[in-house]
Amino acid sequence: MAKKVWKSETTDKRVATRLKEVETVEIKDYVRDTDLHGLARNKAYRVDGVHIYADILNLGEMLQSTEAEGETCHKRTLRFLNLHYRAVYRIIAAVDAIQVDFHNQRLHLVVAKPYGDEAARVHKAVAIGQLIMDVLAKTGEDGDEKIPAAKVRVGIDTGVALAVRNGRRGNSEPLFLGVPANHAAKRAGGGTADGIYLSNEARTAIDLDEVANEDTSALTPAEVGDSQEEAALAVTADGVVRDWKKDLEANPIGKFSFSGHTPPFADLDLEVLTPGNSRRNDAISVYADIDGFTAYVADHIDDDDDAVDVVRALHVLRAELDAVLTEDFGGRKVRFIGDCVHGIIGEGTAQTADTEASASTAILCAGGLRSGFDRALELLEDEGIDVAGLGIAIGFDAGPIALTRLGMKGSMIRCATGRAVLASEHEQRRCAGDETALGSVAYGWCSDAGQKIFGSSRKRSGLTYDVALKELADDGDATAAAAKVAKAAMSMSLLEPIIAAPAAAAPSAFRFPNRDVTPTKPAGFA
Amino acid sequence: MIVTLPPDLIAKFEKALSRAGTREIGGVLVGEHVADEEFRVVDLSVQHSGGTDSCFVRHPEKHRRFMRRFFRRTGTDYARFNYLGEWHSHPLYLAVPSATDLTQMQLIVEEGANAPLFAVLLIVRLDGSERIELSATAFAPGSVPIQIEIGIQPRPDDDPTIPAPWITWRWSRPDWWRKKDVNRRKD
Ligand SMILES: [Zn+2]
Repeated sequence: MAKKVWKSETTDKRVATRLKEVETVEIKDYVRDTDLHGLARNKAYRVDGVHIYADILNLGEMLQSTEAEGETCHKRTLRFLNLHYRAVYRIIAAVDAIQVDFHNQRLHLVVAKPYGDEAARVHKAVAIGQLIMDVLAKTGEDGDEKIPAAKVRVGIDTGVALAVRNGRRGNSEPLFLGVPANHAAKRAGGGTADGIYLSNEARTAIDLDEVANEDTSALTPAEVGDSQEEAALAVTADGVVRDWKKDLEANPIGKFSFSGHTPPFADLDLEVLTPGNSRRNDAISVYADIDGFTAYVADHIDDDDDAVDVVRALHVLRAELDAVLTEDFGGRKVRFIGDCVHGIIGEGTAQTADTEASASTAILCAGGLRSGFDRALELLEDEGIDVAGLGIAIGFDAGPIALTRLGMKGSMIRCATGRAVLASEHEQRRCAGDETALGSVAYGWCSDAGQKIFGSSRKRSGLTYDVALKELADDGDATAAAAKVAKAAMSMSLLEPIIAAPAAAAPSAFRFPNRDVTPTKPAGFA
Repeated sequence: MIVTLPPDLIAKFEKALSRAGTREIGGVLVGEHVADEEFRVVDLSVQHSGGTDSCFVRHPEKHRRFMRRFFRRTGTDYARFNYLGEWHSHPLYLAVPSATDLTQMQLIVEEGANAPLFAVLLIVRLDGSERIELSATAFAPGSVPIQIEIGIQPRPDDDPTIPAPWITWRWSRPDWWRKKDVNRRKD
């Protein structure tokens, strides 16, 4: 069981191991036939490409469709996502784009071909963006439980990004770091109106005038039409929808069925989840995003020696965040999203979350993430790796969270959804690189000590592990008190003792009294 | 906290559950306090009646003899050998405690002057390939239930709790155990 203790010695050991894995790193330029799948950990490609982000605008609406966030709400949301994901898979396969990630409402693709012709790539990206909008407008479902079509907002940017391995098991799509990925995401997330939004770089590449506000200047139907003509995609929306329907008939989406996971979430194997074997718990969703990383990549991408630092720093920092979350605090990483880690953490039983202990654990974990990150930066600096300007922004919130995998057989992707997931990302976004914030539901779960740490702004700067532990424990928080005992015990001995974490069930509780304690009443179980 | 089970009791579970089919069965656990936070289950009683496919009522009178014999064998050394908790099967449900189970266990540790200081609940089921899945939860008065670790450990050579005659045997099926994710199930 996770001891809910962060110690710098533990981080030191982990970082040393991770650094060895990226001692030699090779930076190459993407050329015509480069295969970006299954990249080695110590290899990265500079890819001049066009990035497409497609945001499904009505996911939030789906999650808010019922007053209470019950099972029905989550089942409908997951079916909604699954229907639309499957359609997007068909599109990607048909247009030769690189699928990077599906993350709740956000789909990220890269167009790297035709090689050496930026204008053609941007036209193609616009045509793909429109195809996604047209297809997802038709991939809802009538019937008893109406699943709406998806309203989509597309963001597009072009430029050089660094493609690195994305630490996932099995099929390893690359991860793209740098300005174009970031700007495309910003355009897609830049408003609530649908349409296709190009950065000025992308507009210039296809001879459109620059605009004052990229987020309010959607392409006109005529401009989209021009790009469609230039790109001449071989597939049509009708064709994709027809294939999608046939596939649905042949491989129907199983009914979503939930069971509760017994915490810690570190024990949950996400790779075995399917619609029929999904999990649903009241838990806490955590986002930890490396602040300043896009600018850092932009500064380092041109020179090979500098780019090597990017690969090393990212590998070490992400791995450390994952390790703190999972090994030190019993959480489970759902995925890396670029330079960001998304995870789930919670305490209690499969049926009932211990809300206060969950919140306390999340606060300690957020402290551990910050301390582990800061320590890792120091160690990277010691190795001569430039990490200037990097920070970590952490947000979390609580509520019912559904965990499953969606998509097509053979390439199912993890999905964690719920209002808490969207809210936690929102909390992280309002943080600077030294801040931690929590949503109002998680705030309600906190002990008095926990609420005091964040105050009414629900935000706190400089919340390291030691600060979190001290302030929680000083104000009588039970989880922190147990962690303090565990930390002290770890300091006294080189061997790490096994300590049951919840303070409420202190060791002394587990003993036999000197009398026969056999119950004398009938006991009813179900 | 860790609770260990000897292989012969796993076999006892398998046999009893297999016979019971989709009916829930259960009984009491008796244990030895081995070390600081370690207890071993030394025996368990099986009540074959009182269950349906979704509930089970354990009747104290059906276990009185079992308890009396156990205390006689162990010399009424209560601080070392005592009632450890309850077990029952979930033939049709996941091997995790239901809300009723949680409430009942909390009642056992909190009701009356003679209540135990803590109690363990084991939920067992046979999976598709007739292997045992189980979960263990510890309850103490005034605190939330915690999931606890279960280990498999052969009985000590000089086990004073063994009811005679005892036949020793070798454990040779290490693959039944799925501790990591008790909620996992086949689609
Ligand atoms: Zn039960």
